[in-house]
Amino acid sequence: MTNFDSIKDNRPLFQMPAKFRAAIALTAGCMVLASCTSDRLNITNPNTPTVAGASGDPQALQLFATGLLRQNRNSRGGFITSTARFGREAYVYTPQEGRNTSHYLIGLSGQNKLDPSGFAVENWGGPYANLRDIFNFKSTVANSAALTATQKSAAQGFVKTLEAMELLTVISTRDSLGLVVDQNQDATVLAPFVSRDSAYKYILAQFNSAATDLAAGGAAFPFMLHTGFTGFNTPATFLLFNRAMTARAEAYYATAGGGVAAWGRSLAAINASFVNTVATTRAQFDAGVYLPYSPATGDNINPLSITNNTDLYAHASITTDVPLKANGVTRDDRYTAKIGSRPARSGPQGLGIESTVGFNIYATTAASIPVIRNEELLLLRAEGLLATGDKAGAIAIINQIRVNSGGLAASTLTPASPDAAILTELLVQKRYSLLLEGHRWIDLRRYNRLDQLPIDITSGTNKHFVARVQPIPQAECLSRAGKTGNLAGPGCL
Amino acid sequence: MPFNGGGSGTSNPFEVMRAVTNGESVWRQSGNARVGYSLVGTNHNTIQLSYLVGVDRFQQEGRQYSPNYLQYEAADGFLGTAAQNNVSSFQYNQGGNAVWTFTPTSNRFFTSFTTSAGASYETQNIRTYRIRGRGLLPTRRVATGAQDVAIADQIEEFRDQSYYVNEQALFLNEHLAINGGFRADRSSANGDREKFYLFPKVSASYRLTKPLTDKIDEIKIRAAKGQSGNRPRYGDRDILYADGGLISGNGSLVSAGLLGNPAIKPEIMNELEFGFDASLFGSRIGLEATRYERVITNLLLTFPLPPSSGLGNQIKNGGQLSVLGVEAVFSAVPLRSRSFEWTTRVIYNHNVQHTDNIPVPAFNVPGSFGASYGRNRIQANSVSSLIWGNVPFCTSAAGATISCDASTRLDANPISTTTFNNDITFKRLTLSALLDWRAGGYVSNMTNNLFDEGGQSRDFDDPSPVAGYTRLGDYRYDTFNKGDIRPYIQSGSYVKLREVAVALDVPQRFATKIPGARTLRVNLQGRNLALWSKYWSYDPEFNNFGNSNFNRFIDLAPFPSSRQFNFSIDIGF
Repeated sequence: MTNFDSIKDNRPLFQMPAKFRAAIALTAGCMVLASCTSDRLNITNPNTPTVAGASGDPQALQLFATGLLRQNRNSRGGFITSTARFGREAYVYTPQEGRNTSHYLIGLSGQNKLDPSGFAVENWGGPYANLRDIFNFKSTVANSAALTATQKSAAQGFVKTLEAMELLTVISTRDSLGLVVDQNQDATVLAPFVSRDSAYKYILAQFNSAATDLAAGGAAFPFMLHTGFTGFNTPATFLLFNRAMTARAEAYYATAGGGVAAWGRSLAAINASFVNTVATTRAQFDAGVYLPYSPATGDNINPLSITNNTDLYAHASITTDVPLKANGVTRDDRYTAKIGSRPARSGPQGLGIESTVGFNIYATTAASIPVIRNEELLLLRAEGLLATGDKAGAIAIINQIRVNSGGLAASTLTPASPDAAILTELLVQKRYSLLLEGHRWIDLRRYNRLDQLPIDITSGTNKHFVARVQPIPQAECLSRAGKTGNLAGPGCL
Repeated sequence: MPFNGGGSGTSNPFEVMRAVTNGESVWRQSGNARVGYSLVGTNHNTIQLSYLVGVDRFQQEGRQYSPNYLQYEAADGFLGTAAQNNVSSFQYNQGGNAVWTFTPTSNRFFTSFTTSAGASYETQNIRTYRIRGRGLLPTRRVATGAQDVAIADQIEEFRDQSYYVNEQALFLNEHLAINGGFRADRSSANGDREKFYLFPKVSASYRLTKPLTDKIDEIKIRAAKGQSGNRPRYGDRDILYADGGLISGNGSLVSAGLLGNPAIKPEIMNELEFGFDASLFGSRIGLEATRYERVITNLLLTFPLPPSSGLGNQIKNGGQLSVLGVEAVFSAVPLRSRSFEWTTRVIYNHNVQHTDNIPVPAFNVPGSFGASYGRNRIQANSVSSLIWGNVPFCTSAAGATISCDASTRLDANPISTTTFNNDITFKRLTLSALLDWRAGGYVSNMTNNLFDEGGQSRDFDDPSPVAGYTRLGDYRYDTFNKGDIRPYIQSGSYVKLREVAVALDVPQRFATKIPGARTLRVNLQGRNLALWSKYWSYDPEFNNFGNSNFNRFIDLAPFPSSRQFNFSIDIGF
């Protein structure tokens, strides 16, 4: 290392004559003054678009619309894996992370309750993040000078449908706790909680208002939708999707106090949707709206695919409960197609029992995940028919699914069978037809049948239980500490 | 490449060490120039003008290469990884100042007045860019042609301007010193870029020479009060959209989770301190004691918004944090002879950190792992360094004690830290040693938790301290699983031999053997040489979250501080 002593001692390397130094000091003084104008401090953030800068860009509406769809996809994987664990369809057996098991199946030890500051609080922050952008998108569209009235109507129909979908995700996981439906311009202002009944009424009103807007939305949206909407990407065809989602929401509401009237509206919505009542082939059952995934940089891969998610295991009861074909030996086609064997794995530290099966549903990281498809609409229709007294109609659909989707013999049910027996068979069909699509836990809760779910570990510290609802996250509770009435968080300590 | 971090893809650590490249190089250039001019130079008045310009530039390059045949490489679906990380930093500052010294005709009361005033302009520009390629052809070490290429590129830039005026007055034959002044700062990081923020300071000291007895050389009593500003972080003032990512090939814009604040201003540190310094026995013994109080107001808070609002965090000024502490320094020269000198210095520090008030509801400091691993909480009227986590301190509706996220009542801030520094000089040889002692300060030992999870803790099979468990590891992990973090909150007390250094000044006659050389010095230095602690994990002094004031106490298998040896030869020309 060289040691420049003169620098160390602060001794100048050379001395200039005094008059030069005076001149330089004066010039330098002027330079300092020149660099003291505040203009110099005006620099723009070059890393991320500023709100002021992006809002004026003609491309912005497309980017915002894609953003809503992108965020809607963000929470899908978490929704499926959490509800699948509560509904005993799947395990997430991460070797180093026991909390992926314990926080869903055990909760707070011995309290039969999930931990509000733990992992099992998803399906809250994600949907609300999108609802914020939905709130902003509505006002962007309303204030746009570039859009025609027809285009505005189409855009509002699109955004209101997404709003209702996000809220449906939240209420289907919080159920009796209720939720927040409003967004305030000032994010620090708390919005009130509303009851489950009010939530469903709000959601259904949004779906229906969206339908009206879409009907007046002209021939095309003022932006493009992603490839998962192929066949549903004009206001008229998007309306078919809107009706399908409405049918699901009405069915959920029907079992949450909406009753026969809601069932009637659910059946009407199915008829106005893309339903194919005479479907017999796999392609016909699978027709619907999907979420596309891609391994491209910046995009997301399918979070449930075989290649990527090797920690995702299937519950052993899927094998033991599987319906058999007429020969009494061969398993249901849906089981054969969707379930495959895996190296045996258990929950770490004895938190969960061993499983040797996993899901083969998504073969690649680019496989799409359904949002809603024809097979679900048929099963929702069977639910509606059963609830409104048309047992024969319900049994016909059950058999249509059993024979064509499962490769099974028709069921032995007749219109003389008790309602409960028909419902049991219907729920078995829903379970295998819609495996790993986020339905079983919600359906069993809707029909008060959560006690029918198998409990793997029934005693000791690691005793499992079946959660009825996901808790309100602790961060939400903390921001509402000391508040009363509907501003207080339900279920917060 | 860490091999203790786990991960789904197992691998042979020895092969990884042999095959993986992980290098870093830093190139740094800095320089400054100063021009001074004496405008006035009389017996009573001198005026000095000066102008200073400085630049500091560095380029940091990191290179990683992991060949495609390694066992874990298949886990992400791409064989082989090559990454290049560059940081390019440029700092530049210039300033001018004038100093007027007035020395009145010798009198008993006024000694001298020094007035200085100046202005400065400073810029700081850091560009960070990274390229990572995954899925490489065999032996190819660059990202070109990789199956998956990821790029990150970011610029951070600050521009600051300031003016200052300072007055230093000496009275009573330099026994009384009074200082006062202020600086005015504005910055591109502030919400209002036009506005100057004013920070005054004042201090005074009085020296008593040879009071009471000749054994006491001097006692100095001092007091200081002042304000300084901490400018907002880069981008705090900007309201931004976030890149939503792609879906079926199309880009998107979404609201950023962090809501900027166009009215953001610097946080203000108010310091008040009192103390005395004493020098005894012909400067053989020195004592310093200081009582300090730091009150930070207009805190730069990043507080969480209600999740139902759809946004994550908001930046805001407000609230008050305070630190009350004492610092004491004892220094002595116990032995001194012509060829031998031993000096020792002991520094003791103790402080308590409080959150006095905040303008928002209590919140958990973002950036931790969650309640089960512990975290800090910002809450009015509380000690801000307390560890919060799952503990059975709450009461259920039925009256039973249940687990909840509450304060463990254990403080991550140590009771005291003490540094012992000894220098021994013998002729041309200097030996110095630095010992650090931290008393108290709790740590969330999640490394222990990880080992217990796998049943591999070295003390897993020791007897359990409580009934109901046979093994210690079962007790710890099971209690944790039941929602009680306390078995893993462990005292982080330690004594560490921080540094030992030996230096030899080679006699000039040998040094001059090297053409042109005047001095030659040989140094050998070792850092982090020994640790005495009952702490379970590697090192109670660790850094899991980088440069953060909070949540520093969570030990989740970070790299322990490395033991370093430096050998250097300094040649002076």
